[in-house]
Amino acid sequence: MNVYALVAVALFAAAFLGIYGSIYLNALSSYRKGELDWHGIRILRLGLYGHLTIFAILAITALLV
Amino acid sequence: MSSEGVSEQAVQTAGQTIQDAVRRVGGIPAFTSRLLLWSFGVGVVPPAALVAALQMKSLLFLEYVHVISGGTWTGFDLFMSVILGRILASLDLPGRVEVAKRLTPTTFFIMPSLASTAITAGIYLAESLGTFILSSPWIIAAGVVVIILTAQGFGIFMPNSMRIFMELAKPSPDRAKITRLNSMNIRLAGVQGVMQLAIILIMAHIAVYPP
Repeated sequence: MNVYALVAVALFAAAFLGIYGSIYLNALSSYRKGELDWHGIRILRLGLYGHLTIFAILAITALLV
Repeated sequence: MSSEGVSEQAVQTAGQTIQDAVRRVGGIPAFTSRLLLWSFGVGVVPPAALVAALQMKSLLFLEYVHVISGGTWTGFDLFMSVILGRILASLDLPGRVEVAKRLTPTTFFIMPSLASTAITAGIYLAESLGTFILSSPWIIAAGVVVIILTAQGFGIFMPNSMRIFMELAKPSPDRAKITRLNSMNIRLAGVQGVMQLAIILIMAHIAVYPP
């Protein structure tokens, strides 16, 4: 197992989640105010799940070296 | 008989239009989810190929994954700035918005997937070849370029794409804002393309003169 690679993927994922999460929370706030449609939130959630899947696959690579 | 055929066709067309309108809930077009799913399907391929290369312990396959993902990433960026940017500049505002509506979901997973796979495969490859020497100025230069590319991707590209989705989801989207965000992404793709040309030069140097 390559610990450095695992840590690097975790750091990338944390940076991604920090930025994505803050914009998602803004979107959620806009949705609660009625400024945004529910489908916008759904699309952002799909985007989050998709990126997390890609990060998870990359994390697997750290276990293979 | 002919007029009956025409009226049936007209009814079918009208029915299709109503169905499309029903599917277009809010400002998000019906095709957004489909394009996003397509982008995810394509985006999963590079990291999955990297997993396969490492599982097979094939240096050739690892090198191939690194070069093809990095090359495709560079090609996409250059295409977006050099060709698509010019095409968009020739379109009117509604045309640019229509392109942005389709381009944003299609590139949403593919670009970060290619970027992260190229970088990860590059590190594994350098480790395998014994060239991952952190004191080497060429490896440091490659690292600096990668950090800049990643910061631009996470800090500008992705947030802009999310803001385009959010704008589209509003009852009355600001078309000028969508166009502005999309244009910023296209220009940034040009900057990334130039940075990638620089990193390819660094890679070529490392390959010919290993540190």
